[in-house]
Amino acid sequence: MAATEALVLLARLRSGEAGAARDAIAERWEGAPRSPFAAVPGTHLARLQVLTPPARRGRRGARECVLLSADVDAPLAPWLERLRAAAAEPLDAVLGHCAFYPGASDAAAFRRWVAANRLPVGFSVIGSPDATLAEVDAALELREALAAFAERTQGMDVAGLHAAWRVWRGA
Amino acid sequence: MAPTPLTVLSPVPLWWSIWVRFTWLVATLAGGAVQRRLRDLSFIHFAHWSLVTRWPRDVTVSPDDAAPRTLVFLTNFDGSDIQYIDAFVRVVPAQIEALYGGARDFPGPFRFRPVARYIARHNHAVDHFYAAHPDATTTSIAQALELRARFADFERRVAGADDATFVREWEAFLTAVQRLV
Repeated sequence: MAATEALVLLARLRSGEAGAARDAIAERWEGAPRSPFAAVPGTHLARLQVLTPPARRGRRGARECVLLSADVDAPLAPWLERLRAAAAEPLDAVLGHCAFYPGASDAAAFRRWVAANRLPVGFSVIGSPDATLAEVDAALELREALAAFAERTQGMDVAGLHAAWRVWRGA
Repeated sequence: MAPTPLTVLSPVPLWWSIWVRFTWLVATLAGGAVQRRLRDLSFIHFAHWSLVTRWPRDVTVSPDDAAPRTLVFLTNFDGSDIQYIDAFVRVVPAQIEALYGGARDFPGPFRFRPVARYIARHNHAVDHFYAAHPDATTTSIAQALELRARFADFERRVAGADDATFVREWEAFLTAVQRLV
């Protein structure tokens, strides 16, 4: 199984509520001290936006939708439940402007609504190596710690270096 | 610098949507060979293509004028969109043609400026973007993961080693991973 999975959620906004949805994103997501996505373990990348579908040729316009997409640690279902639990209020603030959105408080209804508005992914390019977020976290931390250790021990004698290694690694 | 997100929506006719689905099937059967050239560009974190065959409806109002079929492209990459588009045009024009050749108003994949104008016209600004590691590029993540694997091997090799052996192994290890640190 791949380490990550993608969610693409596309939901129609009720007529006249696009502005309110954008305001809610600006206030509860973009303007929040920390993104609500940060409270959901396993979230690599995510986006939230209001967009207007392209119109048929020669026609004037189409009604706005909300797009929520994320690349997360697989499998998706537990991540979705974590999102619902951790970000219920900011989710409701935006998705509450969508047609037939049941709210995040009802887990089963929320899951059904997401499933009904989920857009399948047909083709993907995953440049990031196949790793969970925890593995990426650990790898980046180690890289930093290793560089610091190498710098700190430069010029040490043989015994001193090995002793420093034992202290660092708890060996 | 955080990855750059793009959301590009491209209306396509029915016959092109059938072709696109066929190319995705071929790509799946090819076991990653098609994605490899795009992945080797080394600045894409995640890129996904989907096909909307019917925009979500609000049954309380009459159907609107949304294009019936739309290719949805969601990507996250390092660097600017200019660098991204330039790389695609130079390195993988055939892949771009296979995806967008029949899209409405697509100018062809071989010249940077028309492609950049096309993307600018079809891009939809992202209102909120989150990256768990906003300062980590795709390359640095790959390097860190490779380093972690090699480090684990090194730790196993030097477990119980005497001082001289440890230092010899340590110096060899540092030399081997210098491009990763």
